[in-house]
Amino acid sequence: MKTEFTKRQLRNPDTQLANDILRRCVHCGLCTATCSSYVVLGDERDSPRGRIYMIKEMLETGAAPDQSLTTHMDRCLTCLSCMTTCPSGVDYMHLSDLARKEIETRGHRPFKQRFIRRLLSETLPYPKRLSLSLTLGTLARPFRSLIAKMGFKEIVAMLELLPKRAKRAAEFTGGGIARPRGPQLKRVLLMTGCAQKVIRPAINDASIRLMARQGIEVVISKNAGCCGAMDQHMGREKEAVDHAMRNFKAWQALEEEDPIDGIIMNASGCGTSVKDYDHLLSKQKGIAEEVKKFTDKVFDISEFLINYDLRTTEQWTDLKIAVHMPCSMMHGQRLTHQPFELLQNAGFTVMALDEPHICCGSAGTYNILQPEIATSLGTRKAEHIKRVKPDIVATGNLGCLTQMSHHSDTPVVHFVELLDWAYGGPCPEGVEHLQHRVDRLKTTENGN
Amino acid sequence: MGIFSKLQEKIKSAIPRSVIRDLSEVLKPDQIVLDQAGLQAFETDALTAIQVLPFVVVMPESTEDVAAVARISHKYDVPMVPRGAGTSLAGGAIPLSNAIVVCVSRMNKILDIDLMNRSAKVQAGVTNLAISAAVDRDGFFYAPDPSSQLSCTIAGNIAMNSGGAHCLKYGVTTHNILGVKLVTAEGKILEFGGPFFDPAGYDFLSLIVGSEGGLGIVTEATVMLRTKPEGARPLLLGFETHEQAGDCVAAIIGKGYLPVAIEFMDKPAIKACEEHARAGYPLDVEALLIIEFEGSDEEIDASFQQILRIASGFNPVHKRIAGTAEEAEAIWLGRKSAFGAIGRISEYLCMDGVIPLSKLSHVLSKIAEICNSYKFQVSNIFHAGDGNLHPLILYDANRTGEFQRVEKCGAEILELCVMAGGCITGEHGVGLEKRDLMTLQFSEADLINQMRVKLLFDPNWVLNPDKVFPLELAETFRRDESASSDGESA
Amino acid sequence: MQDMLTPLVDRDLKEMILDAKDKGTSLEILGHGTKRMIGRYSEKNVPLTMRRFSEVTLYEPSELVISARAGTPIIEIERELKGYDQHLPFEYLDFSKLFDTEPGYGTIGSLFATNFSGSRRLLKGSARDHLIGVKAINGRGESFSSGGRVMKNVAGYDLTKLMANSWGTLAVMTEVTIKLLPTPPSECTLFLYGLEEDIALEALRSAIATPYEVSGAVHLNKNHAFPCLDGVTYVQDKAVTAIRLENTPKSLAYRSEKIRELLSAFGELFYIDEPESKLFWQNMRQLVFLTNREDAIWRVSTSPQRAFQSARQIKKLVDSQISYDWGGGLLWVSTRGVADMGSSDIRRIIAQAGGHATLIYPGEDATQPVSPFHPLDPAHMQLTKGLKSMFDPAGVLNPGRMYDGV
Repeated sequence: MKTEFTKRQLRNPDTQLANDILRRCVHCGLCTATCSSYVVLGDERDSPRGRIYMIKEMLETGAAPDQSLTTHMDRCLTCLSCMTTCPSGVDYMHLSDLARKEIETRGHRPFKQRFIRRLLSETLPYPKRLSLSLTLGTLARPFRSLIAKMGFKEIVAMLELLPKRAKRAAEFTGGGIARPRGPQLKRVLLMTGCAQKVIRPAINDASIRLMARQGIEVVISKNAGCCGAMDQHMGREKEAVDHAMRNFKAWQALEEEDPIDGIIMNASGCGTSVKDYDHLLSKQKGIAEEVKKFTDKVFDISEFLINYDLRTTEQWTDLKIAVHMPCSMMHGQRLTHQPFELLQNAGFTVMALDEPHICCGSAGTYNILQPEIATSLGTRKAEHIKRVKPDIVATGNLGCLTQMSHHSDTPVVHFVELLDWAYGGPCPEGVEHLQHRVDRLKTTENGN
Repeated sequence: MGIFSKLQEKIKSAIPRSVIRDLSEVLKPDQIVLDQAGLQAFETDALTAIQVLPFVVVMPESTEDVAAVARISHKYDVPMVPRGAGTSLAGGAIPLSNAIVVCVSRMNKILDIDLMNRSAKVQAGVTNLAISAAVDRDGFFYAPDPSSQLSCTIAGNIAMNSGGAHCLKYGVTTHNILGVKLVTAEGKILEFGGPFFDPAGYDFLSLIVGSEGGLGIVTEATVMLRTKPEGARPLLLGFETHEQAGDCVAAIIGKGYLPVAIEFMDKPAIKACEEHARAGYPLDVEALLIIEFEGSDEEIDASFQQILRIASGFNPVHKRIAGTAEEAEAIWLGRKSAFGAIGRISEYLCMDGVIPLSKLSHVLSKIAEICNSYKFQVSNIFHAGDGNLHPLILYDANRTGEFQRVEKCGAEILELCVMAGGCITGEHGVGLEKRDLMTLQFSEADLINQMRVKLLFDPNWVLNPDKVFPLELAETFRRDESASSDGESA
Repeated sequence: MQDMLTPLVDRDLKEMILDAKDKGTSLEILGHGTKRMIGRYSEKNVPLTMRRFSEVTLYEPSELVISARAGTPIIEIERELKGYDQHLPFEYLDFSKLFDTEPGYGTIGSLFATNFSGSRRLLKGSARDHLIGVKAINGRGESFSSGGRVMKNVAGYDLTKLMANSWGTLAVMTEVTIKLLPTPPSECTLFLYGLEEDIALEALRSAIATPYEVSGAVHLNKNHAFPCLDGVTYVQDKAVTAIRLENTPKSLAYRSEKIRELLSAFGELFYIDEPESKLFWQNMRQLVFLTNREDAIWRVSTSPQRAFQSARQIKKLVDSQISYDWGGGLLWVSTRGVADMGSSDIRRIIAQAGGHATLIYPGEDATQPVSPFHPLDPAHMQLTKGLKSMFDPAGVLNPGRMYDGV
């Protein structure tokens, strides 16, 4: 597509990047059809193509982002479905990051919006604060309608999404190392996520057990923390960089102790961001090469495990598992088959959902900030689930898990929990009622 | 300044605020776009070289909404530009500065699927592929498959009479539409055809399909569904020259074989598509044919054997049969993304000429000559089975004057197609892009007979008024008509 | 009978049209007159035959395209095509048996002007669908052309297909260009005998819903079946349901077997091999089942889903025999001894179901005139008259042939 930037504008590296991205777009419109917000809203402005075009105009004129652009960027889920669809290879992810940064730094948001966004940014990434707010939240639940009347629909959405039952307490907490019983084949660092640790710690526990059982030493660093994705998606580049730098330093420290073979992500939303650290940190001087070395060994846990010959399963079951691929896996990281294969190898009957490329509406903080659209998408996903009638839905990201649990009657778990179960771990929380449909095989070889 | 543009100017300067007021009386606020940034998102379609900021965009949700908008347009004599997904390569959805853009993308519901009748009734904003997806489980599909089928709407398909790779066997849109609901320029709702064949009386459907939104705004369509074949797989044949590939196509059809699709890609196209789709295209051939057959595995293989026998006379250097559905899917993904994938290399102007098959090799070498004389690179991707060429002329959109040059180069190519006995557009439509080239193919009398049809449906010339017909000719025609009707009434 | 005008070239035709326009007279546009019995007839119109416009102007087998001047006899075109194993895929109806005209006659122009497609229309589309180019002269005496010799052509409005089913009322076609298809290498038909109508339609639907490309799907009641089966197979006094497949012999063996399996619940399927199968479908195309002179004949296009109910309603109210083509989408209704040939009942019932009924032949004893073409609602009639006035404002061409005032 034709662009109109002056030479001076192009001296700004951000603008140069935007220009390179925009020149690739031929405005063919294929992206609209697979865009999660466009399928619900049917408005060009709520499609990647519309946004790209509006971003182009904003950057070319140098005008401050207006209300319209802000609204339509805010409605973008950053599911990146458009990037899978785009035949021209337009890098919408980085273009939207730039736009969000512009909105955050040069746009105007009403006080209420700023307040909510700040609140999220300062709570979710910090496990202790999040824990506390969950407690407060549970107390606040009865006052939802009052809060709604005050105009804070976002807070109501947040309260709606809170886990309703007591969660299973974490087995492994804090930093530490899980050493395999037999010979150690690999040493990996597990990023445990921030919200995940509080909301469903069982995912980390299952990941640790699953890998350790396969002869992988699993390290959790006390100093690693939030990946920064949330701040980045809200256009808060500085905060995102801070998070990334902290993690980078934690990795460096670990690597110095004893080299690590992989940085394992079990929350795919975070995975997409962490894999992109080389871009996020590209303006930090002198570390580019080392960052790249690390990002090259960031793997989603499914991506890592698929290369292992996992031991034969110990279960016999007729459970049908529908896999919901998080957008961050499918589009962000282009992982398509791994969870399917792993679950199948573990003896489950695995099914795909219709419209797998459309987001469930979770999208980080989206279901809090854009509750109406998120609900449409959640309901849509729940209908697809209903159609294939699975016993359990498996996914790879905490956000999707929470969102779908909220909209669907079918229990939703992380696929590592199912794998851990199949290979000897406990039955995942929320599917205990299905336990009778799994029989342990009497195998001669018992790894544990 | 001609009468037409003068009229436009007059209207524009006098667009009453009451138009907006009236619109907001019949539509919800989120159905109306008025702000500068929002309007910009609608200022072009897939022909990005031309942009016109519309006056207002509306997003109707029902036929009644469209009718209400049309009545307002009629009341104030403000033009309407219908828009589906805005994927037109010919600029069919490019607004006018004084127009209401009527974007039907929100009308995306499938209203009724009637498998017994082998038909489906859909709102016009439903995407082409969504129809097939909805009946796939039951073993049916909607046949026309333009490469943009993922996102383009039935509304747009009807407007442009879209084709696709598989229309060699199944025909284009006009062969697959059984009925439409149409909102007229005055805001009346009319229905044509229905879930049965060959409606009574004059074939208005044939006029509406392909009229580029000039006769009315289609809000619903009844489409024909077909039974899915048992299977379908393509065969890839690579050649060292374009001519060999072209001659091979003519030989296949001449010998009485009619594959479902025969597609042609040249080297630059193969490379770009391979990058996107990882289909395993051969990168060392000059021309690639994708030839698809349908049927049972054995039937397909039997057909492939016949084709290979014919092809052996043209020295194919690469032969590959897609063995699985996945392979076939990747091969088609590559082909269908071709236009976008070329975007990885450069901006381009996409041509859509059709030529008689027997002239294929001749025309291909001429195209190369023409582009060469302009120092443009060209990439050829096209439906070879029916002679529908899509030369993509690559150019640098950011260089001043390049678009004008590339347009001229394109016009020469289309003239070549017409001289060869073909036409200027096979499936993309005329739109803005080829409006002034219509005289290459048609005489004045031909066009006047077409314009009379428009005048019948759209007496005030408000429906997508600047598309299809050369502006001056349209102005003269309208002046003459109004003079003669004045004469009659006097 | 008045003297017939016989133009030879475009200029003659144009002069005759302009002459009529000037004199305020009107013309009856004819080919060989094979379908003159169908539709309305006006004695005022001066007959003009296009039969001297007879010439194949272009035949390019490797492009599957043929052009011919409009008065070329269809059989002449078919003779050309035969040499290259190509054909007109829409299986046009041949009325010669019905109207006692010379078999196989009729001009290519009249074929398209009337758009009567036969059984294969179900799979391959109508005559209109295969008309890709025309040259014509309208009622103002203007020559124009539309479409061309290439299969895909979307430049401008499609006046080509508009000419189909316009019965010569908008313009006189002088040359047509047709998309052809290779003749299928072989064919076979599967017969089911004695099915109840609703069961038969269900069987046809099931067959069409298979991926085996059913190219004919008819159900004939036992009276209609009788003449069609003559020479095809030994005649039983039963209704017959016929399913045609066309493909290579190997595919036919496979596909017919598959269909037999799938439809086995409907009864025994009898395999009819090529020569007899061909004869059967030729009988269908020549409408031999409708040659009883006393009967009025209706051709009804409707929604297959509603076909059975509509047929039952019609039979309840009108003494009639009904058979089905296009898997139920086309009804052939013969009525007897009803004053209006059943017109009001049939048309009311079909209007409810969606579709339209054309009176092909009123029967020998017809007394009450009935509009042969399905009446249009006011909005469509207004547009129809509008279109007529755009092409033929003076009403020179076949006025009244389709509707009063058109």
